[in-house]
Amino acid sequence: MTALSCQTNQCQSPKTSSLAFTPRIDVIENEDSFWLYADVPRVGPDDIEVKFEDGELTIHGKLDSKCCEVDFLAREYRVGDFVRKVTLGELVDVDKIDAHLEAGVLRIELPKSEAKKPRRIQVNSDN
Amino acid sequence: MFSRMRSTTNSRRQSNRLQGQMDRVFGQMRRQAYPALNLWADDDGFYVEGELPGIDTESLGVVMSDGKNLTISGTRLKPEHSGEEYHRRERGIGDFSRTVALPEEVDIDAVEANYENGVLTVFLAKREENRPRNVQVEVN
Repeated sequence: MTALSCQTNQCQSPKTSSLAFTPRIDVIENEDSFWLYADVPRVGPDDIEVKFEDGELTIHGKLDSKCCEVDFLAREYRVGDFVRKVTLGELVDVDKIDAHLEAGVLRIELPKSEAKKPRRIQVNSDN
Repeated sequence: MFSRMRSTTNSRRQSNRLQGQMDRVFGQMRRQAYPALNLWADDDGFYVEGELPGIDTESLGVVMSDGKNLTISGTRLKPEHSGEEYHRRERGIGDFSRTVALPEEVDIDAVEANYENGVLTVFLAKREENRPRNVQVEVN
């Protein structure tokens, strides 16, 4: 459930969580890469932070909410900050991650690392 | 404890009221209708805004009918990758169309639509006779 912080006209008092929504994502894998597509309408490249750490990809968007500046006649979605985390594991070549934003869709390519692909380890015994 | 319960009930009541308002404004609306829209108004007109990330702009259509019905349609394309396997698939694809009725007839010759950063904004100017106007108060 997303935060309802602005629904009850309490927007003036900043509450603990200002997260407005959870962006929808696709995660696709093929032989060479992982691809993540996230619907992040309204943000520009400066409003979005993409971080990859310990096998986890974090997308953090910062938006000035237009909340409460206008009287909505109908309101089906809200505008504001969002965060989405996806665990992709250590298979990713972190130096080659590429992120691209177009028409409100963030596309991130996470190429697989040759060196970190799983491999079978020979177990030796002294006996 | 009690105050928390009360506040939950309050917010649910307000949420229901909001839903009621939305149902009145968007008569034929379904809850899960796509795209989700926000509607607001000022003295000059109505503003309908929809989050439509990744739309093929060639397919985007904005049509007015009967003076007050706004239809937004378009196509969302599927990402293409060879040998793809989906781990998550939350973003919808394909054709969509949604019609909403505005609270009153608007000036259909003065409709403006703009698509930027995946957000479609449509401005629909109020008819002259529907705009608020100041009435001079004569003081004797």
